[in-house]
Order: sequence, then C-alpha cells, then structure tokens
Amino acid sequence: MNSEPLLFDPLLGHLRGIANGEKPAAEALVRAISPKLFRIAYRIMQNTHDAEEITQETLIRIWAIAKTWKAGQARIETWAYRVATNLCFDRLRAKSRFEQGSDELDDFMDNAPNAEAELVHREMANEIDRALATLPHRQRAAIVLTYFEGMSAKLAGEALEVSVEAIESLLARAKKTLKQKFLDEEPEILTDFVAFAAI
Amino acid sequence: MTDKSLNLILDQASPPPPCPSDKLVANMFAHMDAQMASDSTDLARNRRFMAWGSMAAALLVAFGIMANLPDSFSFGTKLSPIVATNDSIENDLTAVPSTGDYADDFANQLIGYDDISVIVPINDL
Repeated sequence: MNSEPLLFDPLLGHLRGIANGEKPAAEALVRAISPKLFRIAYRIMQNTHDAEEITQETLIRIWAIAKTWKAGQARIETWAYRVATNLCFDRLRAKSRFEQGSDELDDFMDNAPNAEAELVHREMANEIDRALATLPHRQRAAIVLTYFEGMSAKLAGEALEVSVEAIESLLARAKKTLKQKFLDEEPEILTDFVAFAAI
Repeated sequence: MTDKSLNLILDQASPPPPCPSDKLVANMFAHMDAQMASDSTDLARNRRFMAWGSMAAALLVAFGIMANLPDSFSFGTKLSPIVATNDSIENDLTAVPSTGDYADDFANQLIGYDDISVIVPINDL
C-alpha cells in the first residue's frame, strides 16, 4: 500500500459517481479498467470464461467498496489488480488441474500473411502458453503484470502485496524456469521462433 | 538464452481475446439495479423497525414512570412517613416544670468513688 498521499487518482471521480448510483460513472469505470483486468485474468487463467468471471467479480467488488473508499490510501486501479490476481489464485488453487487455453485461439491471426506463418505462429504461441502455465501462480502473475502489462516492479508488488525485492525474485525465478524449459524440454520452440522470424 | 531472447519469445504468446466490455457493463448495471432495489427495501424495513421500536420504547418509559411515581421515583425503597410534628414554642407561664430529680442523676454517676472530693471539689458544690 502506498504510504505517501496520492494527489490524483483518475478513477476516483467515477468511483464517487458509482457510490451515488450513477450508471454513466459505472460505465466509464468499467470501460476504463476492465480491458486490463480481463487481460491479466486471461494471462493468468489462460481461459476466457474464468477471465470474464474474475473481471466481473472484481468490478462488483469495486461497486461494493465504492461508498467506503478512502481516497489517498491506494490507487483504485492497483487495488483492482490485487483483487483480480487474488481471485485468480483462489480459482487456480480450487482447480484440480489447469485448463489449457488453446481452444481460445480460433480467432487468432486472422490477418496472417499466409497459412504457413499462421500455423507456425499458432503452434509457437501454444507452446509458450503451456510453458507459462507450468509456472507457479505467483511467478506467472509477476510475469503477466510486469512483462505483458508493462507494470513497474513497484506497482506489480502493490498488486501482489509483496515488496519490490520479492517481485524481482519472482521474476528472476520465472525467467530461469522458462529459459530452462525452452532450452531443455521444448527446444523446438526456438526452432519455430527462428523459422517464424524468417517467414 | 538472454533476457532479450526470452522477451522476444514471450512476445509470440497467444494474444488474449477482446474484452467483453459491453457484457461487463450490462452485468454491472444489472447488479447495481438489484443492489439498489434491495437497499431501498432494507431502508423501508429499517424505517418501519425504527418507528415501531420508538413507540415500544416510549410505552415502556411511560409504564416505568407510572409504576414508580407513587414511590417518588424511589424504585421500591420504602420511606417512613412523618406522621406529625410539634414545632410550637412552649409558653413559660403555662409550662409544667419537670418533676425529675437531677441531683440524684448526678449522684448516681459518682457511685463507686470513695472520696467524692476527688471528682468534684467540695467548694464547687
């Protein structure tokens, strides 16, 4: 949680409107925050259905907290990321096995230059998704937040409720695991990557 | 493999599907409507509870006052009533002098002493 007071939170006005039951404010906040929440949930869960439910649940929790929200304690966005990642972890823990998201790729690469490139790219994407899915939950979340969503280590740490040092440690371990996996277990991905880059 | 190579590989991960923002907005509105309807029902129920509760409390207070008024709000402590007092000043002319022998009373206090002069000097008698 931020210790220094926050001067400006762009979503605070929307949250105040939501607390008063204003639907335009609710719509503005949902449209502002839901794409990123959905992407984070999808990257962690690798499943559209779960990602959608987690995003919706996070938005409902924002609505529930709106009336008692104290400005300056934290950014609404960061709080929402924290809720979403915790919901992902809860759901992953509850699942006995991880569901692969390969079925969600049907609409991918519609604009691919040709069928061969599309095929190579899709296969490579599936392998990368599978490699990411093997990471422990928190390492995967650290990769998703910092790499895919471009968050700073500080912001990602706030979202995951850990220190910057802990985030860096999670990232280092995740990268080490991924590199080892790509080099040892799925060396074909490097071949595919070279082939894709050449197409 | 360098971090840069890893990043280039991760760039090729499958992109997430588009966010169903319209659906999320609609669900949010539905949730808000349901919640606000529930809140207004709760508010009406709370107001009814407050009204009936206030009436019941007022009745209890009134009953308590009525029950304790005869005892002057003493809550059951029994006070002995003062039946009568005689505050009139006695007239010297009509007053009946006491027939009591006060000297004997004084003498009775001295019983047991061999020499009364030790207690009361003879000159003072």
